[in-house]
Amino acid sequence: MANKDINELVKQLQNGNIEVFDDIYYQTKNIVYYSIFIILKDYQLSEDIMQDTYLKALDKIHTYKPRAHFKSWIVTIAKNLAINEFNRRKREMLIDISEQEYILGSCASTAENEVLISQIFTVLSDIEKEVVLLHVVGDLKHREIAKLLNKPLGTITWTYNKAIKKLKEKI
Amino acid sequence: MEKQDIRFRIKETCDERTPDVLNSIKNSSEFRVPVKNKKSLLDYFSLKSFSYSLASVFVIALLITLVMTSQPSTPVIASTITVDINPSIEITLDEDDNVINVVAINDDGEEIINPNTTFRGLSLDQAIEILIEEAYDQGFIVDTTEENVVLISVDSDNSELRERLETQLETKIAAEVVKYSALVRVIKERNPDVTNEQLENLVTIARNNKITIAKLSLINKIIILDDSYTLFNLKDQSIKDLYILHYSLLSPIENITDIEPDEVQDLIDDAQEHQITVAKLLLINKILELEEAYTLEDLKDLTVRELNGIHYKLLNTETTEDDNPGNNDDPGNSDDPGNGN
Repeated sequence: MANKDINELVKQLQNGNIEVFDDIYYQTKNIVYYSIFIILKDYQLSEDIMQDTYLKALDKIHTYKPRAHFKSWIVTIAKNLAINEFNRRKREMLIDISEQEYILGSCASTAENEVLISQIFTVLSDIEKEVVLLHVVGDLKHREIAKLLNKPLGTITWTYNKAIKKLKEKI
Repeated sequence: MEKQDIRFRIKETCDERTPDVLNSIKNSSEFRVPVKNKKSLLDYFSLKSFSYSLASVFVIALLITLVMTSQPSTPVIASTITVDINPSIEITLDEDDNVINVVAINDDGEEIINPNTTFRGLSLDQAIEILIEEAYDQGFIVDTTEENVVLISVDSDNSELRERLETQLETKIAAEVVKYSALVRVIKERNPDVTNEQLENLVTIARNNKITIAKLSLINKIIILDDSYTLFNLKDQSIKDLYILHYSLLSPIENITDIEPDEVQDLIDDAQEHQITVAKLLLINKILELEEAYTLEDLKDLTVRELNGIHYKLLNTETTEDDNPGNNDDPGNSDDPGNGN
């Protein structure tokens, strides 16, 4: 569904129609989840923050303006919550930053796809991960990603091409 | 694996692995759409929003003043690079070797510059990576046993900078092409040693024909060796074809050192008399050495390409005859008992 459709759904939600929430959720859940997962690197924790993200987005829904892509808006909320959680756990020494690895958890998936996910999160740098996931999973255009990450468009295009090349070599 | 396949698999995998927390969200006590507060008329004139509006107007006015009074900062072009394959591209760099702009010189060049790509701010290496990848995807660079040929030129007032960029460019192009299991020869061309006025004239000619100065220089070298060629019939040739042609025209002249000095003058006189170039005359002489049935009159009106073809065939025929032991017409050597000769 195009950006226009999701904006239409959000508008209905802002007008009080809670029925459209499911559609909005299913259109955005992948990119929300992986934006959090890149930061927290933990399957269970990311699930919890994902829940918080949608509740917060709902609470702040009237502050959303259709100037920006809705996915960019909700990803920002997700990342902020993830960063806050990360910092909180760091302060409480619940995680060892230097040895943090991705806890991929168990999920029904083919062995090949398991390898692919593993490669994305180990082979790519943080910025490459973000750009690939926002573009491929989130369907955001490079221009929108550049705005979201506050980087030049050329950098985003180059980073994406480099990341895909790295994955092609590894797989 | 193609880019599209990787994209599809990433999307599919992420789809599979993303947990579904919709029910948990809906079961939360916070799951509701908050009521939008309706503003009263008084709210629009509240001190807070009014002061924000006033501050915004002030900032905008200040910015406009600054913009109008300040000089626009346009980046200084420190060097200009051209890359020719069949697509021709011009890249301008600033003093930090960062890209200011990438423009296509010809229609093929337009094919490899993605309009969605912003090159400005990238390093030269990054720009070359993107362009070579696109050239490969579009089929201008091929991964066969034949060499791809890329012509580069760096123009800069600073000779050290020029040499450094030439080396960097040559190395990067080679490294990128090799990634696609392709072979490449990078040839360098410098601006001809002419006056500024002559150079401007060359720039005009190049621009009018949608080619780079480097390509025009190569074409000129070919025309000097064989004036049966013209700019018109060479300008759309690939760099590889031009390079091979130039090389084939140069080859006969490389042997000119084997000839005695007074013989060289005879050659030049001979060439002038028949109104052909020395290179062509040397090539014709090689053919005549291999096949006496030909005469100078038969061959002098052929193009160098045709002459090269004849020379090549004669060389191969001679080689085949030498290598084939069965091809022996001397009856005295026949071991065939059935041979009544």
